[in-house]
Amino acid sequence: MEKSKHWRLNWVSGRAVIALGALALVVLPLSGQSLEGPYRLNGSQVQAAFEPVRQVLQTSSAVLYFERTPFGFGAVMSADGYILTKASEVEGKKGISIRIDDKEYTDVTVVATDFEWDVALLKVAAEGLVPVRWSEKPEIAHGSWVVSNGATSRTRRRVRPGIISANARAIGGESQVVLGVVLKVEEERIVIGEVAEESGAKAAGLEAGDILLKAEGKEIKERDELVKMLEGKAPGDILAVTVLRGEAELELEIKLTARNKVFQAPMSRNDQMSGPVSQRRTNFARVIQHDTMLSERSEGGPLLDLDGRAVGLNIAYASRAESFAIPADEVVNIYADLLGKGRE
Amino acid sequence: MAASKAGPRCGSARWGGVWLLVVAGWFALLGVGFGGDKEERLYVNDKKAPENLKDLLKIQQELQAVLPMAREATVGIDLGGGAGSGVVVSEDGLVLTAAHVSGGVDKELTVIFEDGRRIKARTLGLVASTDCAMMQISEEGKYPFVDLDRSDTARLGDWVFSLGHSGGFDEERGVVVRLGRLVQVKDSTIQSDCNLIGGDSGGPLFDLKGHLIGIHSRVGISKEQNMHVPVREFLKNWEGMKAGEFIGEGPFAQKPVAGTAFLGVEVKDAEEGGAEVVRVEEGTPAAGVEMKVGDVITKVDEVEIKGKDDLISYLLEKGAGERIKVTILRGGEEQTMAVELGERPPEPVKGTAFLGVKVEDREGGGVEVARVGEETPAAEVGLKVGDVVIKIDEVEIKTKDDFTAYLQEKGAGEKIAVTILRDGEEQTLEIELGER
Repeated sequence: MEKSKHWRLNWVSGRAVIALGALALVVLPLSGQSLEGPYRLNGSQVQAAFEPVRQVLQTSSAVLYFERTPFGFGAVMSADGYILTKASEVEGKKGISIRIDDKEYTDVTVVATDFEWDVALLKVAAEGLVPVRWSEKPEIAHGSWVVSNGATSRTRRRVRPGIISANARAIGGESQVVLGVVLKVEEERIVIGEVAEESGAKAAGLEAGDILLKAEGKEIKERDELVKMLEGKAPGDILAVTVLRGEAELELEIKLTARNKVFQAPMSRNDQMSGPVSQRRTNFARVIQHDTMLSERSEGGPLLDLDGRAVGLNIAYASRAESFAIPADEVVNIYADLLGKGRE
Repeated sequence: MAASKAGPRCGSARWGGVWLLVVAGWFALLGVGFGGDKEERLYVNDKKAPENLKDLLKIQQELQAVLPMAREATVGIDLGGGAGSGVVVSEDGLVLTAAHVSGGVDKELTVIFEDGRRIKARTLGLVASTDCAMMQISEEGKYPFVDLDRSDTARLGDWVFSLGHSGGFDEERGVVVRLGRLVQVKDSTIQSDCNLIGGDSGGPLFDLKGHLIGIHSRVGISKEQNMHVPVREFLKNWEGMKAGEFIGEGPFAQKPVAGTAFLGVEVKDAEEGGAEVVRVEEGTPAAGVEMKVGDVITKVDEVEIKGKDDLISYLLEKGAGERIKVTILRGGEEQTMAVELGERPPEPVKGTAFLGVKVEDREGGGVEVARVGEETPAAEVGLKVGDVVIKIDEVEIKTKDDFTAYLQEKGAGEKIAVTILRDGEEQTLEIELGER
């Protein structure tokens, strides 16, 4: 007897979220009417049909390990060992190693990071690698097969198939960097409410009750003015603010922090259904969406079409029904930028 | 509203029951599916698995050939505070969805096409036990629609695709498509590995010919458990649903319970016949349709209302969520308004009311306020020591006992009108009673 959770699928906002949770249900195995595992979409027999595409993943995708556990993938960009991957998954992990085909590389450097796209450029000392071929088609139609990295062994890459499932578009969201405070508006003034532990605001000495007067030398009257200033900023950037505490005007330099390091977003019911999702899954200027059943630990690798060309770089497992990839043309530009940054 | 509609009222016991019902019915239904469908089956469906890129491309081509029209016919459903999906199955706008999305019979909802067009629709019938529901787009027109797999040709292992507005309607994103296989087939549930999520409920599952084979209902915690109601379940109950019947019992929809309905007006017998509105409570269905003091209700649905009692006894037969048509006279003109009844607030419990004063008997009638407690309902409206209470509502108060006895009959949250004498002048204070 197996207990499982079932959710109804109408989407309900707000307070209903918790109440709509689990319903226990006895599932009785009934033979003969259930498709055996190997023949399901993600089964080994179906995967076998993708063999030519799998071979591309074998040579041109990288597996990223931290403490001997794979935590993501990468796209091989050059014969001499440049690799693109999802930046926020690499961040904070010291001593990562990489496998390409059946070779292991332990000397991995982070060359440069594009915070806006959440892409990092890595380098290993290698030669003769087979770079990913990036698709030059401007668009990929809904319903087209796409192939991602699936569970991997030390020597053999596997495929995870899916299809393009929605329109390419920008994914909005709140600013990705924060001061680490809750702002209140009192008597038309912006007052610091709570100051989060582990935030740049705390480190700079900002206190609850301080009144925000200026940021970067400009007078701040509306909350939105401050939010605007944070756009395009990366973690580690400095924001100079002037606050009023009692009678005194103080000038503080606040180091900005990535939002997900400071604030935990509340879990929606759809998140509960999805299992662990990518920490960073919003704020992308353009993504293509596919239905591949990935996980937060399978991002960063190339998204291939049936010809074995990369149409995107997997960048977020957003929910059990939605995976995002950065489109090929953008990836090519990001790579050029990061290479340039790396040479500076 | 939406919260209670989709609420978790059904316990696990019911779910177990539903499931077992399915098990019992299984053997009887083994025969289904061998029926004579002459249409040629897609060869990839008869392979245990696609063998090569050519087979995969065949699946892709078939999917892409039917996808545009399937997308056109798929709608988002705005529940006001929640969202689901549905699919149009006739040119004049008949929509299939899930019972837990439609939430009841004869309700007004809005459907949204992929291009952003929003159109009103009315729910018809539903099957509460299996999660089927039907709706009709209210505006006349020619709508894009899909065909049903009427001869029940779908088989275990067939390639299928699901559409829906995952997480709610998003015009930029459009309808979301997912591909998979039928991984389990039972009489009232089919399962696929097309990943569903909240918002997809009520959306369509298609075979690669673009025929509708199921409607999304629920998911399991394992990502491979995506459950759909098979179209045959709809066909079985088609006429009943079309006629607006509420078929079967829970867990996917609850029948309105007579006596739970709430309109939100206080009425009295009108002189010329009918029920005259004397008070409209804020935030109630009556306030929502802008019913006004002075309106005279003369008819509800097709029933003539001669006075207050007629209205009350008619409404007592109704349940929360049901819709009524109210005919009123306003300024000599007759008007009819459609109202969706709300849920009756809990009845005040006698003897729980609290006013917050101490009173004494007094010569010459009435009771004198001897003390007013701080932060009590009495203090809030400004009742003072020395005030003489002579009447509560329309009842004369002559002694302390009258006063106590009257309040004994009241419950927390009820409102009373207290008439007092202060400095020789009569005043009436409206007080909402607190809890003792």
